[in-house]
Amino acid sequence: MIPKITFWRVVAVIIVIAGLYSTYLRLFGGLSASTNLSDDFPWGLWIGFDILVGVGLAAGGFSICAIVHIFNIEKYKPLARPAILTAFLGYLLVIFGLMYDLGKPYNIWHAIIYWNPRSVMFEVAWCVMLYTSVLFLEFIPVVLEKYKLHKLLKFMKKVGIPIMIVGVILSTLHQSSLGSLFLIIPQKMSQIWYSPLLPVYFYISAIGAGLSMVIFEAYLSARAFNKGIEADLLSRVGLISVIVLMIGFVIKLIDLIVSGNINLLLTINNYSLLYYLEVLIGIFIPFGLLIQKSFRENRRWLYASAVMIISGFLLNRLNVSISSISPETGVSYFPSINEISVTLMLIVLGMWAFKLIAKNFPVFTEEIHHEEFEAKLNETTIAN
Amino acid sequence: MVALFVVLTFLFFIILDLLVLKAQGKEHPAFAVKVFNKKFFFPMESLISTSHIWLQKVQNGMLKLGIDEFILKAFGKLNLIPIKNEGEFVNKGEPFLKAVFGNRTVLFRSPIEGKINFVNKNLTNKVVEDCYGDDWAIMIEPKSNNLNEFKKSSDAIKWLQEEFTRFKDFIAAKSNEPELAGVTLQDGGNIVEGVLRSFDDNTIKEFEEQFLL
Repeated sequence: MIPKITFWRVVAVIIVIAGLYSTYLRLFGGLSASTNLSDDFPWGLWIGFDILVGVGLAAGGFSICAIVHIFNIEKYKPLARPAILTAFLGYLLVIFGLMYDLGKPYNIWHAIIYWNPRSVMFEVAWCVMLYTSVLFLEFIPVVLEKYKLHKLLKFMKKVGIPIMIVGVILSTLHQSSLGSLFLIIPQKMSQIWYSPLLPVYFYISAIGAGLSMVIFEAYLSARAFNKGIEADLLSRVGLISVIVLMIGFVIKLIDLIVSGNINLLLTINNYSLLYYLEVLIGIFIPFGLLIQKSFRENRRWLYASAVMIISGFLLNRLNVSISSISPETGVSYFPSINEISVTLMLIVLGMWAFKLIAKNFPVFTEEIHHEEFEAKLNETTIAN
Repeated sequence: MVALFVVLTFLFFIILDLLVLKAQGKEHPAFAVKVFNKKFFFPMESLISTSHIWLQKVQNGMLKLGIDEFILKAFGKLNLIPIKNEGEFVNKGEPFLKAVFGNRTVLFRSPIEGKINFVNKNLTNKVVEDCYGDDWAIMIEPKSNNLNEFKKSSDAIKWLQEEFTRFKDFIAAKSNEPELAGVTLQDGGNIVEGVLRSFDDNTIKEFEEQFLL
């Protein structure tokens, strides 16, 4: 069947065609032919956005998993599957995106054989590999349920909790280690963003923004599948998100005061303005809105707040990885059209994959499984 | 500047999507709130009990039972689990069906005494959408053929409308903050579908006692 031509489908196809052309340039022309990266500025949009933002926004998966399966707050269960799928696809795209940025992508497997345990990148590589495998195992019950493989499903449920605990540990290590990557370049970074506590900030902001990504993803799914949203659950998720982000901000503020770097914020320049913008749209405005029940339970304000939090998160990660480095190196960087088109293509591929999977597997159904149904019937029979 | 460029691109696509929806004359499905109003549909051939269970005569003197539209609108999205097996006997007033919404449940009592001959197996893993059609719950062989206590056609619809008024008062009494129900009841506004999901367990229990017994 030929899909109906819609505005977004046309846009998506154009993006993918452009992305494929840029992929060709990257593969056959190398980094210099396809990017504005240089030896002076080796990490650009692909690392700043595809990796740092991609991994951070995938944190909704482990946050919701921890809430539902470890803290046993089961009412959030309907959000777990879409969050896990988002995280799983997010990590696959991170790996895919990394292949573009690596000078020799065909050597990506080296981290498995040639160990360098003192390198943060070694930790990042292993966490990405292991956590992607864990996300696959967390998502596999959906596939087993679809094909009614009840014995395997029962087994996966038995090992589910340990898997999820491993997932939370790996995520904690991974989210923070992305912040640790920047600990080796204090002299190259603006002190507004550099701090020995960067791993802590990366971890906290990933939880806050990841939870907002769960809200954003629910709205995208509602749009794609013409369905409703779990508004009551999402409004609570929004509240948790802004509280976490505010805790992160308070720690950062204390850090700036103790280190004496607070003075940098009293001087008005491009960098202090970027920081103010980051905290204003990413923390203060959403906090002011979502702390109030009337705004939190309003679907439009909830959506607007999630968009603001994600925007603030984008600013934060790109400020840390690009803005904060530019003034110190004396080199300016702006991504090439190829870098932009590849990034957009990865987002489109992620959305297509999500839609395809959600359409064919029980991602959004409330979890009342066959065994539970049978068990309930048996309980009733025994009781009678 | 890269950071600003990325954020502005993100916001550009969000705004563009809202403009596309506006141009198409559509509303974002996530923003759409269905209003729970007095308009009810009830099949001509069916009967309704005061515990919000409908009954319909089928072949061999059997009765098909299910939940009514009022319940669907009050809870929004829900799953049904019959809690009696095929072949079992159910007494009048005995729980026979469980509705699951989120992580909470309510029980429905049988309006009639009889033997359960069929349970709708298609209800498993399914959100109830067609409450008077495909999403029936059980088929029962009634002990008695006396169905005079149940209402039908216009009487049934009138009773559902009275229940709606009673429900609106119930919500108003329970809602200290009107926005909880997404309504301004004092101004004569409407309540939204799935309104009960916003309330605590005690209110759900009271609803069960006042509307489903």
